[in-house]
Amino acid sequence: MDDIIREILLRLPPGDPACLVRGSLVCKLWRGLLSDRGFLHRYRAFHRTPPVLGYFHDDSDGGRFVPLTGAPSSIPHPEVDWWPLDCRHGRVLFNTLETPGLVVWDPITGGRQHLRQPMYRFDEEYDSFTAAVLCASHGCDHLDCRGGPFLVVFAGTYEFQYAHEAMYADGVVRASVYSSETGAWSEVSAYLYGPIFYGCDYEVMGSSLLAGESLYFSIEEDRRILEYDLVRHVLSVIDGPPVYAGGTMVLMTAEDGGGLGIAEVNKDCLFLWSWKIDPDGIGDWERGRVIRLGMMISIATGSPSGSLDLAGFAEGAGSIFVRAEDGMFVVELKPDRVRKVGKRGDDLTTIFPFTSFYTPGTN
Amino acid sequence: MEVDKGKGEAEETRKVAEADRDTVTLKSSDGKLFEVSKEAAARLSTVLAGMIAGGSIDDNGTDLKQIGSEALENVVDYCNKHANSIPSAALISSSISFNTAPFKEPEEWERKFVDRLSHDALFDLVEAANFLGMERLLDVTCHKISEMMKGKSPDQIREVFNIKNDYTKEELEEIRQELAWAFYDD
Repeated sequence: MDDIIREILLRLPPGDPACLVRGSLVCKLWRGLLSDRGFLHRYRAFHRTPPVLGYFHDDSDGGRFVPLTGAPSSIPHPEVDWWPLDCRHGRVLFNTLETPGLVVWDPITGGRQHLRQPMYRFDEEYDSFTAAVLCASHGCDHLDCRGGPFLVVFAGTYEFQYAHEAMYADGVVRASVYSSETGAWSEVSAYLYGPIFYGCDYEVMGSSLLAGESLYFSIEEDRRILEYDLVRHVLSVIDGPPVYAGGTMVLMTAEDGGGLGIAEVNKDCLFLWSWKIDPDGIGDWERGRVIRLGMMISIATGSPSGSLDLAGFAEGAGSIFVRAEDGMFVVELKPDRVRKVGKRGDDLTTIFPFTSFYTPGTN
Repeated sequence: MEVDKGKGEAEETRKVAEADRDTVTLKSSDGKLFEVSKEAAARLSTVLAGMIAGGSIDDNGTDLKQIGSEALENVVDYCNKHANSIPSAALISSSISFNTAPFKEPEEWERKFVDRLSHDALFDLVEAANFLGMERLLDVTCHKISEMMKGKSPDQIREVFNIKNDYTKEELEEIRQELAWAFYDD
């Protein structure tokens, strides 16, 4: 019978960790089964994709964690003045104002590591920057790599004015990588960017996407995308897809091929794009599916969706976060499903979905 | 068959014909007989596949003393339904590398198949599937039972599984406080 119980517990949904915890309170045998290392290893391999437990976003005094339904609200809020920059492979990366520095945090174990933030020159900060965190182990399936080696990729812009032409300014983008194994930042890779477009209500440097061997950063609200090749350590810039005015975008894993993609919302439709490289090495945007998102949300809630705004993308889970009139929604693709996950939250703030297994033995 | 063939040859032909039969007969603990597609039985149950390959199938009904007639009827029903649905490559491969295979959602007919079962019938079927090494049926039935735990309190789960609580009040309270978030809204 133990075998059968194990098989049943193995199938408890990772997206509802409360269910696993309540299971461990049934009797001592179950608690033992549910916290057994072998069982947990099999559990992660069986479910393959860690669920989205919630998301981090900026609040008035730093980052906040918003749990999705059934997820542990025991994940603590980050410390004051820790501003979220990225979440990946069970880790969260923050910008801390004191020092100035970065901190890589494991919200489940509480483990943290502070890093010094790269400067443009001596003690001169970058005009705008972003950073991403990722597991550094080769061939890792990222089911349980917390505590292992990680990389932080930092990218910053700096604008300098030509002495002879006061009206003209050029931007440079520079990137470097921190390895937790060496404890040091790599050599800087640079890209002469040209004039930088500043909008009024967003950061120049945005959130990141890991696809294949590259990290992509949204810049100028996806007007352009910065590619950092993790193998060759080279920077390049891709123009965003041709879009209608007024829509918002997020970087996403392309539906076909798993490379760079973009989701764009316009009025009440979601447009999916993927970046395709032809045999001559020339890249171009290819438009994929169009999803009638407004209608899906209206059906799910029974009321009009109102204007839609894309808030974030959860890698691995492949879900897109959308703000609608009366709440935050998660759109899952293939099969296309939409569900409400919480309050609408502040307009225009990017969210960073946090995915991880959370089992009774995780601590 | 030609008329002038000897008795021995006829006997031989009969044996070959039986080996070629496309069903096998299974006998439940209470003596009821069930016919099941040989191909489906061999494909879906590692135990039956072994018995068929090893020639230990009894034409008068292979005894399965551990399985009652209701559970065996469901097993046979499942095998026959499976034989009629197109076996996808994914299903076969998931039954081979079951221990490491990622979770695959039950198909619509499989879901309906387990949904109509009573509580006791479902638990009996899980045991039968486990005994016969029927990975896919075990997958489908265990998935159904794990769904039954959704939103239930530890007390309600104990009731479903007929389990006695062996925690002391103090132990329970301690764990409960540690994991208070899991008990918000049930």
